[in-house]
Amino acid sequence: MGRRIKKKDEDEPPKNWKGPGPNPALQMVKNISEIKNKAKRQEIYFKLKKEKNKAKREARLKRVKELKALGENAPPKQIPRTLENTREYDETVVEAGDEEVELDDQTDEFASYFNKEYVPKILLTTVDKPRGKTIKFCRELELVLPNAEFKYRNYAHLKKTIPKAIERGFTDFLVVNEHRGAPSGLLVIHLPEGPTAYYKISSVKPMTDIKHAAQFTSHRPEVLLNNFGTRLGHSVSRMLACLFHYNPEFHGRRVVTFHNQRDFIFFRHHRYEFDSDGQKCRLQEIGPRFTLKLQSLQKGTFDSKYGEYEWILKRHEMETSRRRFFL
Amino acid sequence: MEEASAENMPGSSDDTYHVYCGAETGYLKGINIHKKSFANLNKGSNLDRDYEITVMIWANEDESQIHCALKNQVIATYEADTGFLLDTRDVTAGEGPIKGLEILDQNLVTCSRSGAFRVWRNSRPIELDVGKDVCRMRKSPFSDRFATGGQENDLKLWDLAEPEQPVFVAKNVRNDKLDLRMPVWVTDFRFVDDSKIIVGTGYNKIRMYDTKGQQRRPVSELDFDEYPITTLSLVPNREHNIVAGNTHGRVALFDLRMQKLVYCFKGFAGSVRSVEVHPSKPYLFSCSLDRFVRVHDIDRHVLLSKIYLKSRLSSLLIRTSFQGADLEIG
Repeated sequence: MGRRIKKKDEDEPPKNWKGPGPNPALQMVKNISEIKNKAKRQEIYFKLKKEKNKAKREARLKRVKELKALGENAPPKQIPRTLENTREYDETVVEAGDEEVELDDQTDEFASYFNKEYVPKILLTTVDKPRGKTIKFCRELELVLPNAEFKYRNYAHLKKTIPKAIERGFTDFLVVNEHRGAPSGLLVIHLPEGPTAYYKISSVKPMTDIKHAAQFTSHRPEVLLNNFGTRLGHSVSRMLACLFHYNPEFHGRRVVTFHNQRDFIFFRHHRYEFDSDGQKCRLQEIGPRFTLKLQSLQKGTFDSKYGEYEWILKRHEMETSRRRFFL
Repeated sequence: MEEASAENMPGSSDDTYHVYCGAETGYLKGINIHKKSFANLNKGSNLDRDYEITVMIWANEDESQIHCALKNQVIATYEADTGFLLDTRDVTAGEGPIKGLEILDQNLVTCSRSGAFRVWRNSRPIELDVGKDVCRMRKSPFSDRFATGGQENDLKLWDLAEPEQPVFVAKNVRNDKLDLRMPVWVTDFRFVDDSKIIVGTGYNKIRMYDTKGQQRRPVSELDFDEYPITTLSLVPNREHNIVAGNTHGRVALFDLRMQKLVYCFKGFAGSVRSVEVHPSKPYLFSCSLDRFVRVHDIDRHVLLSKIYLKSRLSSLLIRTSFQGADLEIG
């Protein structure tokens, strides 16, 4: 079998097309995946892509120009559709001024904190044998949370520690869980009557890894709780708020943010600064950074076996849609 | 809808409430399943966690009044349609919330957590101590006997004609293979018939006791998950079926004859506080700590309706005259 030598076809369109309209070479094949030669396919693909991008850029520039020309009469900017703003309807979303939720808030476990009856005092511990990253994370958490105390677990039983912690006046108890040497879970127990929340921790970035980080100061921070819309989110945000002193020192310009987006709670810690004219605000991160995801909320103090769960994430049963969020 | 309102029966028209729920904050909620709406019947009063409704029963045969047992040992009687407070009665006895409320010859019978069992009548009031940490007290629908049970307080059956000693005391199951004593924690029970009682325990067991037999130990036993069973209900017209719910929000249908789980109902997010099955229709009502009341079809295993009630719920009462003729999946 000799190699068939193909004669140069006269019908073959020129490669370097300069004429009007698109290159017929690209018009020949409708679906480029039908081209079997990889090099050829790639070549055409990149060409197509380049043209497409060019057209897109030009269209955009044209649009911007038109908008500028219209000035004030320009149509309003379109809002992109995201998973979050097309989320499934949730009937539990708390509306402002809901009497029943207000009554619930006035009588629940956090009511005394919001009445400013006590100052939070936090006990922070880890798993039995914490490794470097976990200890570092705890040390930083101890810094960030005012009035927090980090203790080594020393093989203590949680259920036995809780009554002792209550005795010593602690109001919250945090336990950092670890997996493969890095923090993986955070258990938040509100004392003395619960509730208990368990979060998954991910994307931990310690203070030292944050570039151009601001110097930490020990002022009491302001706390921002964003996007906790549903009834469950409301409870969770109240619980997180309880970890900080109710009276921030505005002088320190420290702000701690718990930002909920698609059920992931992003923790960020910044120092802010207003411009001299007070119009713009600049942020400088202090750190650490991490992300929490709620796994369960249990009534009462920690009792994973006999405790009653107010909410528990059942992954395959509850996560029926990408647009369904719980917080 | 039209058919139901044309009949003009109590409970079948659109305006009445079909299910009642007691909340942790003390609200008594009337729920209209058709409209998927609810109303707080005792809205005007000052409420607190002390007013948590722990048990609810119908005060009369025609289901127009409700007795609500509150956590602070008070029985409040409401008119079912309007939520008008008819009567409050202090039933302080022992300590802790009221764990059982029944009616015996138009007298209230209560049992508190600490085990103070009382029949509230003017002549010959009965006072019993049924043991500590009571989780439930119920009256047998077949006779005037009462059963009690709780933490480290096994099932006891009381006959008020001879209140000195319980008629039946359950015996703990045998030690496990390591010869360790099995802990006792009766959380809920129901009377299957004159002699048989089905018990759910905090150690995830469903047990059947035969009080007339020779044996004081359970005659059969079933496992359900790994978490405490909080509530239990019989399925009327189907002798061998029961429904049980647990603290992780799992509600399952069991067949006692087959000794196995038939189906696990979907859609729960929190601990189930109470389940009830409609006496004639295949509806399963449940209320849970996730603040929802759910209606499942017990034959088709589907969720028919769920209603958000804004507060954590602790007790449930259904109107037996509710027919729900056109309850569709929704």
